[in-house]
Amino acid sequence: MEVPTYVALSRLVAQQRSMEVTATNLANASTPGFKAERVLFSDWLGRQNQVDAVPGGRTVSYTQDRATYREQAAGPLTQTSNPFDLAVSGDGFFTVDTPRGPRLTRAGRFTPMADGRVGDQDGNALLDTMGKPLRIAATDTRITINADGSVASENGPLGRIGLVQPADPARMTAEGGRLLRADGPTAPVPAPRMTQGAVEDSNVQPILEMTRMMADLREFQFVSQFVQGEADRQQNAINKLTQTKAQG
Amino acid sequence: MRSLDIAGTGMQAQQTNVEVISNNIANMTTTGFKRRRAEFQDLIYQNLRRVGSNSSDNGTVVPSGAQVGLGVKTAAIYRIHEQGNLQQTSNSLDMAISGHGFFQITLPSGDTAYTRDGTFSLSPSGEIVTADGYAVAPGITIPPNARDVSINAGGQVQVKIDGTTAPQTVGQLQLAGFANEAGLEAQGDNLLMASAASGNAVTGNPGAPGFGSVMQGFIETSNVNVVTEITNLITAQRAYEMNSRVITTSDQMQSTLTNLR
Repeated sequence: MEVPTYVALSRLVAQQRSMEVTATNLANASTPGFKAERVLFSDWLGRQNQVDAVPGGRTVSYTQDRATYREQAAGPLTQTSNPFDLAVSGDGFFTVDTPRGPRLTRAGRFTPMADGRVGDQDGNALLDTMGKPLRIAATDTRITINADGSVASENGPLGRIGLVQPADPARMTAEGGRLLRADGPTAPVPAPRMTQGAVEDSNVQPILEMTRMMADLREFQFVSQFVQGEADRQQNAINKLTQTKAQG
Repeated sequence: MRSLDIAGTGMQAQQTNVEVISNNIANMTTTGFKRRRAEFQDLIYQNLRRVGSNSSDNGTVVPSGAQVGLGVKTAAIYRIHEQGNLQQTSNSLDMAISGHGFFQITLPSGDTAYTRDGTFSLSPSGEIVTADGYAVAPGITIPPNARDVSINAGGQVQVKIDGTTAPQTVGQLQLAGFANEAGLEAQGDNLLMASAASGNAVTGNPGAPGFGSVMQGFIETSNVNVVTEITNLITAQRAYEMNSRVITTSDQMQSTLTNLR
């Protein structure tokens, strides 16, 4: 008797989760290198009665949120004129050395640090193709970073920034701070392409998120009305049954 | 409901963004001002279903887990040390740096501060000082009977003394450079201080490798680009509104629940 309410309830919970993901996307609409997240729902079959009936005839399935995934589309580039700002065009992630091990990022906002290494906003060093931190001497003032990642100054070449791509881009865990941990093997990008003096903005499309949010809200209200209706129906049934009994 | 808090962090971030933009616009005509940019990063994530965890005893793994982010935070507000425009003032003690480097200023406390603002004047004793009267290091004194101060691109200060024909060198300006200019700490009054992030100052004559040259009779205007700032302001305002809509929507969802029997 309670089944319709519980099915609707699973949808309400899923809808809330979807709303949280939309809120995260909108909150990070101006975070460089952020990739919009999406929720993936699937059905979860309940106990099936009369399994010899026509398929689908007697099944009850609940909504279940199975996964969130990141949209891999490139974000728009913002010109910053900062020599250490790098935007990746096409596939690939920068590798930075964190105390927890190497991490990947698309946020190419780097800055030279006092010890000569080049790091991100949290002081994690940017790694070159050999997996060593890129180093800039104090005498290197005019830094040129070419599209293939090679770095040079007026004193000659300094190294090459490499890009890596995980074998399965979906198997990455976001750790906050614009860092991603690859949970599978990664391989260097054979022909990296990057632009100096620009950063990749987040690929969140606010209009899309707003419409998604409104759709979420309406659906939420619709499903909760269904829950309400179901409660009324049960109340009604109870009233009718008890009335019959009283008359009999 | 997490989305309320998430949108709250979004609104706070956009508020910081507007504050940074308004500071840039307010300092649009400040000599030697470098524009700033607020930089955001995503907050921590909650793992609801961990990516890569086993989904069966046979070793199949979850290809993409369920993670919910918890919002956004301000990572940094950094200065963009792009060259500003040079504006001619024809004032013989106004100097602009074309290229890298900072003027060194000796503060009353004895510490050294750094600036790109080269609007200098003379103190009662003839020393070259900033608008606040702090001495430009290394101290250069112009003799009282001097005429025609000329400063060349290499930072040499020469004067003509009445009664002589050959110009006389009275001092040599020096610039300071840093490994990480963005790491300098702003003190207000157009002054910057060295910090652990900036590294130690490397001094050198203007025009030497790694240092810019000095232009007499010019000042460096701020590098604020009004069009960019206004565009950023519009974007920030829209982002703020959208985050507030998330709060409204979350509130409506809550109220729907409350109105259920």
